[in-house]
Amino acid sequence: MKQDEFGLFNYADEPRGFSRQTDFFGQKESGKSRPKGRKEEKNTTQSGPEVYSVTQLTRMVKLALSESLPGKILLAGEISNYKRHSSGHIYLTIKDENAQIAAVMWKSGAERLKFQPADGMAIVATGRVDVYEPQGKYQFYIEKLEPAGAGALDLAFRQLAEKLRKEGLFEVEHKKALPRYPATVGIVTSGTGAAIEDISKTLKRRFPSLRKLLYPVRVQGEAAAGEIAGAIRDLNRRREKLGGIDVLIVGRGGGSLEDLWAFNEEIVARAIYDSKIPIISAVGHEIDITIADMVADERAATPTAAAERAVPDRNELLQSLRQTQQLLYAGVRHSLEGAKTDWENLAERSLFVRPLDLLRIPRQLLDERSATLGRCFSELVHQTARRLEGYTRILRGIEPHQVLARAQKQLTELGNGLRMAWRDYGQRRKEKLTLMYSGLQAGRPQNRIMLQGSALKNLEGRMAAARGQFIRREQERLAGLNARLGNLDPRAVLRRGYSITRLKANRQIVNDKSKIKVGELLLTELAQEAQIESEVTALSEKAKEKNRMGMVRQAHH
Amino acid sequence: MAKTETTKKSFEENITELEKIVSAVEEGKIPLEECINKYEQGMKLIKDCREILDRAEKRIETITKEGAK
Repeated sequence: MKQDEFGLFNYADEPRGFSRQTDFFGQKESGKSRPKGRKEEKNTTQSGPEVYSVTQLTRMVKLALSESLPGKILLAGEISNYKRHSSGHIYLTIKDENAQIAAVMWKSGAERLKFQPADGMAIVATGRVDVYEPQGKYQFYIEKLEPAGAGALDLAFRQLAEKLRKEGLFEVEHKKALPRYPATVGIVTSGTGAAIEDISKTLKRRFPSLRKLLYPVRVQGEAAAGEIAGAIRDLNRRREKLGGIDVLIVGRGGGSLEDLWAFNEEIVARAIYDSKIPIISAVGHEIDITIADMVADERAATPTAAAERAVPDRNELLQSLRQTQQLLYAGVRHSLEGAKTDWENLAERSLFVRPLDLLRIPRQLLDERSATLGRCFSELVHQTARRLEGYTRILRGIEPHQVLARAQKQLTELGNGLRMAWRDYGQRRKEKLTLMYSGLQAGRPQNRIMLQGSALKNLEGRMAAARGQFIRREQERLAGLNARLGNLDPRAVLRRGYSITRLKANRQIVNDKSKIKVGELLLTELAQEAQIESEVTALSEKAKEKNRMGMVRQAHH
Repeated sequence: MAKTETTKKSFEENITELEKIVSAVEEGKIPLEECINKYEQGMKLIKDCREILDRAEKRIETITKEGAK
């Protein structure tokens, strides 16, 4: 720089954008040639100081600033008066306790801001100072803006997380349950790298027959978020055409916050939230949590863990099926054994094991009854026998043979007597006769004998008649007894007008009302094996009467 | 008296019926002929039950064998 006659350097001639430390009044170090600046018109007054125009002065200031300040300055301060213009440019003031400076950030840079600047925020801005001539002020033109302290990414993360949380994107209620037995798994990750290898291996190991669809995307860099979100939406859209997708694994291997940043982008978060297919996120390592992890239906610490979560282990399933089969078998056998036991308990009851016991009491009853009956009959028989004996004795007493015998005896005695008498008489008569024979030829003794003989015959006849009468009388008595004996015959009972009534169906004797119903068919047995078939038309009260024998008879109305 | 029908009843129905029969007979208030009838019914039920049990066991074993293939 040339010093003029006053020893002053004329800065109006200096080039702009000088990027070295220069002192306003000091020496410059550069050896650069002086570019041609516009030669301002000087006031032609030779004697007084130079008079500058505003433009000139402003330009001088501008130059002075750009020469003396570093081209790139890192400025720390606090934001105030932050305003995002509709044009996209940001206007703000950066200040500290003592001073402030107006700042602007053009749209291009502002768009790339990962975080949302706000009043009061402590920031570190990278940029340069320049003069805005139209307004005569100097400004800090920001090329890069970072929050002081934690870093832009962290802040951006926190801001987006808070925003989405408020919107409810992380709500547990919205999260879908993963299918237990998926047939198809979609994988959104880089086509190469450890992540896809781990996922693929694990899926194959656990469930070889699983269908896997890989949708390779960039997983870091500017375009990554868009590709990831696009992949998720695309898979959702073409779900049926692709043969059905049951679950998605979205993720990548480990890396720095910047590497993983795509999974913190809003566009990815929204794509995950809108996905109808359940999503398992697997981004980075255990300790890395991204917004995608928070929105996803499930988060896995690693890609391998995601694959394990997506699909059950085939062997474990088979094992559990085997157990279930055993339980089922045991259960059904237990049922069967229970039924068997119930059956045995009943089949072993005495009714079925010793059914003849059923007859024990009836037989006993029968025995007792028949014994009683026997006794009764026996009594009867004895009584009758005794009577018979009595009659027999009497009969024997008047038995014709006996009578006859007695009569015969009498007769014989009579005869003997007669004979003796006759002999005597005969003798006497003989003597007389011999004496008288001659004289009594007319009165022949044969006549007298004949007379006696006929008298005897008379006797015999009368005897016979008497005998006959006796016999008849006693026969009548016997008949009478017979008849009375006959009365005891049941058939005689029938003949007297009683009848035996049975049910036609089973020939069971009806001896009380409870055995019959109206409309049933009855068989009535009469004397001489006659039978009447009848139908019950009405039932009513029956009268009982006991006879001497103690049997109950019924008279049907 | 109606004849006993040979309808297919379930095992449980048969067992319940059997229990009724046994208690009725054991109570002893039933006339003899009916006792015999009930005995006959009971024996038939026992036979039916045994058949049901045998069939069930066969089915279980067949199904198990089939399932193990």
